[in-house]
Parts: sequence; C-alpha cells; structure tokens
Amino acid sequence: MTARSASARRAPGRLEDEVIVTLAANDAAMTTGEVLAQLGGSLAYTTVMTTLTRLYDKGRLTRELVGRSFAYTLTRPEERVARAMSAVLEDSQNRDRALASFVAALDPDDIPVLRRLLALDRKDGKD
Amino acid sequence: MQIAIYLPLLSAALVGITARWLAHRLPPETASKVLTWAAVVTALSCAFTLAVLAFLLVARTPTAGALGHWSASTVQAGDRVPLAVSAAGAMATLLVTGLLVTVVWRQVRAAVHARDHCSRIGGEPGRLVVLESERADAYAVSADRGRIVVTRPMLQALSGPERRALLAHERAHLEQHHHCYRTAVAVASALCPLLLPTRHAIEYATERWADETAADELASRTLVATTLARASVLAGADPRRRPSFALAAAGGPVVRRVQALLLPVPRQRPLLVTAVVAMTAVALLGALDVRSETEHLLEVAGTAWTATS
Repeated sequence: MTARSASARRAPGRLEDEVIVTLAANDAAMTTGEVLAQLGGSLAYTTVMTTLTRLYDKGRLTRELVGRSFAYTLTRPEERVARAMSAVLEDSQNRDRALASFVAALDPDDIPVLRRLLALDRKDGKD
Repeated sequence: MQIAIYLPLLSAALVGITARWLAHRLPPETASKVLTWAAVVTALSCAFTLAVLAFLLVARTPTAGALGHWSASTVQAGDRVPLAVSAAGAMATLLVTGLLVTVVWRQVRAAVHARDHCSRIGGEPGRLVVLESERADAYAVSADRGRIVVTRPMLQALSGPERRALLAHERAHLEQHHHCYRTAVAVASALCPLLLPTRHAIEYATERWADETAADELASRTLVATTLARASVLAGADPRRRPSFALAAAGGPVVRRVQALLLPVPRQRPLLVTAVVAMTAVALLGALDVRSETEHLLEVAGTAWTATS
C-alpha cells in the first residue's frame, strides 16, 4: 500500500479547514509560526501565512499585532453576524434609510433588547 | 418458470447471509461497491418477481381478463405456478410496498433534517464547521453538497495529527459519497427484507473505506486507529444523540475497525467478487425468465380471447 503524497500538498480548501481546526483547538491566539508547527507535513511558512490572511479577509479570523507579527483567533459566531451587518451597512447608499428600514423590520422581541444595549452603550460614555 | 421465480429470492438470501462476511473479507472499497450492486440487483429482481406473482393472481380472474382482453381460463391453465405460491407472492408484494414507503419516507425525512441542519450551522459546501457544544463529536452531513461538523471539545482533546486524521476520515465520507451506498442498500432491504443484514455490512464497509482513505492520506494506519479509538471514547457510546443523517467517525463497530487498521488490508479477491456477481446474474436471469414467460402466457391468452370474441 503506497501512501499518497498528499501530506506535502493540500488543496486550499482543505488547508483552510485544517488551520481553522488548529485555531479552534487552541483557545489562545496563534501566530503563523505556531500554526505551522501544529500543522505538520512539509508546509511552507508563506503558504500558512497566505491561508491565514485569506481567512482573515473572509472574516473567519480576527487578528492582533503581537510584536512584529499577527496572532490570529477564530471569530466568534456573534462577531461574524455583526461584521456581516456592518459590511452590508457600509455598502448601502443611504445609511440612515437603511437603518430606518432595519428598525421597521425588527422582530418585536428584539426591540427591548436593542433599547437596553443602546442605553448601556450611552452609559459607557459613547454616543 | 416454476424454478425461475425462486432464483431471485435465493440470490437475495445468499447475499444477505454472506454480507457481513464479505464486508470483512474484501477490501473496503470493493466491499462497498460489490455489496451495494448485489443488494440493488437482487432486490429489484425479487421485487419484480413478486409483482409478477401478484399480477398473475389477479390475471386469472375473469374481470381482469375482460379489462385486459385476455382469456382468464387460458391464464389459469398456462400458469404453472401453484396458486398458493402466487398468493404468497401477492401478500409479500403488499408487505414490501408498505416497507418501501416507510423506508423512502424515512430517507426523505432524514434528507430534509440534514438540509435544515446545514442551514442552521452555516458553512460552505464540502467544508468544515466548528460547532460550539458541550459534547465532543464529529460527523459528516451529506446535504447541500456536504459539511464536516466537529465540535470544539473534540478538537481540543485531540492532538494535531489526530485532528488531521479525523478531518481526513470525514472528508472521505463526503468525497466518496458513502451516503449514496447506504441509501441504496436501505431501499434494497425494504424491497427485499432478506437483504436486511447488508445494512450493517455497508455501514461497516463504508466506515472502513473512510478509515483506509484517511490512513492513505496520512501515511499511517496506526494514527487513524488511535484517532478512531480516542474519538469514539470522547464522543461517548450513545448514538441516539447524534442526528440520524450523520456519518460519524465513531460509527459502526469501532473495535473491529481499530483491529482492522492494525492488521494488513484484506487483499483483492477477484474470484470472490466474480462469485458475488454471478449470484446477482442468477437473480437477473430468473427475473428475465419470469418476464418472458409471463409475456408469452399473456400473448397466448390474448390470442385465445381474440379467437373467441
């Protein structure tokens, strides 16, 4: 039984999944080097870096600067919803009208929740 | 024809009896394909034969003869199948129809649940979704072009190489379309309950197939064996808590799968495969003979009808 040489080369989708799996398994933020170390196989540093950047661009990861390199974490599901909503709002031609339509279409149960969150926000000194 | 009607049933019985043994003796990919082929062909042959028996029972009646323009008495005289056998066949047809409807309904419902599950968990076709959950679990879902679902506790409990093995196993389920084999066998077993043992056999064979694919990819059968053992312990032994459409890493007889990974892969057995194919050919031939004899009988009866009218 001959082993396929797939340990050296992985399809981009597969590599993305393996990176996500590695980040999900470690609670802390990880740098490119740390992810590379855990992935095994004969992967290039640049390949892992490109994959992390691509996932960041897709909104799957958040990153913070640690020293001279980035440390990545998986975006939490709630953060992804917020990011998606912000992105759509950015794209809208009239923010005020978009927000007005959004409020008009709100589920009645969400209104008190939003009110409470906005009130908290104001108390924190933001406007 | 008196012999031909029994051939599909005989074949199906043989396939059912030898299914588990075949799944263990043949390499997993071969076993999966051969078992599915055998189950489907013998099931269709059986179902056809039963339907013809039921039909002949009805065709003997003058009412049917009047509607179909054939001489009922000619059919009665020419039909060499004992009445009791035809009656048994008719009853079996009713039973099989009921089973078929039940199984197809269940499959459709499972497919709908799988689609719902996919839209709830999101993710992209063929890709991974990390589920926040308290339980460790991992499975593949064959809906919306597939998802691999792994919970965070499972990922945190496994090492890097073990995570890769787990992903490779689940990915194999999706890329090799194992759910198609399982569904085909489920429907075949409904058409011919003698094939019921093939359901377990196909589950084992497809799990083994995914195991060996992962082992190939990672160049280590031991790693897959360890991963499988740990994942099944982590996931716990309660299969009911997992969605019914899921193909889980911890599915099927885990201990036998681990053992099989630590032993050499079963070698190809062309003679055995030929024997199984020959069995299915017997079923087909039986069904074809039943068809041609019945056609001939109806022709003769039709001629008799025209002659007397």
